[in-house]
Amino acid sequence: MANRNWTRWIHASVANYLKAVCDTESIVSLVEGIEDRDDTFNNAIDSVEIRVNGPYMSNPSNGYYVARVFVNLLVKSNMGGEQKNKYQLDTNLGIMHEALDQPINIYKCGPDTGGVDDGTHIGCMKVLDESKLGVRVIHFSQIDQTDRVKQAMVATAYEIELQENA
Amino acid sequence: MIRSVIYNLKRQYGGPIDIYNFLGSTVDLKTGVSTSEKELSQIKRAVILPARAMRNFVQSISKISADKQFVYGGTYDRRTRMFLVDRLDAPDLDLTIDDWIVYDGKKYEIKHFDEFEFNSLWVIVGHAIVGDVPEQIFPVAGEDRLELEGLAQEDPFGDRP
Repeated sequence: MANRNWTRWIHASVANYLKAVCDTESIVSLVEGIEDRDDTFNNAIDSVEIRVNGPYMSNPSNGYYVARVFVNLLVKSNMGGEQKNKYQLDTNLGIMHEALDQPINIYKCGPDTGGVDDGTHIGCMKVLDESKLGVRVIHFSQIDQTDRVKQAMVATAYEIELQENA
Repeated sequence: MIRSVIYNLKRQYGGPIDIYNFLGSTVDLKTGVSTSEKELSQIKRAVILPARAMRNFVQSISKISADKQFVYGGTYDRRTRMFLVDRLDAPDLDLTIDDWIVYDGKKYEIKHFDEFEFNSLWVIVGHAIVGDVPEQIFPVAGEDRLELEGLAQEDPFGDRP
């Protein structure tokens, strides 16, 4: 039987990892659905929204599960004027691309109300490359005919193997 | 009639705005550094109507096709405001859709504008994106005042002490 905590552990571990990357690089970020949009985020000229979908589970054999997790980062950049480098969006996309293009550790993260979230390492998600797409960077360019806002997405899929008793 | 309405509106809702004409820009594709040319027209008293602040969300087909699980997000905040400019206040200004307005330190990209007949009025609707830097031009004016001062070096008539 699937572990009821896997979804939380995966979501929290991915969010925590990517948030740390954004903080280190001084990019304003928001974990969608978890964090509130505050003035810092709304006023940011450049920002990243972190989204996690999944896990999509399969159960190839007894007690052994394979989870697929989709991570999707929406990167926003106001186009600005002369003071802003025109490649700032690409710079941020490159940072997020690098962050996604490596294994992500999954820990038992959570409020620990049930005594199960002790921070133990349970596995490692690796980029799922079966579609030969790997980490994808997709530009939407200016998204409105008047508003000078550019958006792009960095997306990838991961796979992690889990044991029932993990 | 229109002239008296504009006058009354300017008295009640009047304030200074800067209109920037976009003249062109170039980008160094190796470095991403851009240079742009713009021209400033200062309007001492334009009619500034209230702003509507809202959160905007653009869901394009490219975004959906990139990730079908994309439901919501990527929002940004903007203010929409209407400006009325008496054309007598800027007789040489040739407004285009690429221009922008700076009011109260915020940059309003022109969404659309109406040009009234007989050179009477522009009605401009602009969008300000929260967080945008207006990159303003601040004209600096210098002024010298010559203090008039009488100093008699020599009395040509020789009859003064």
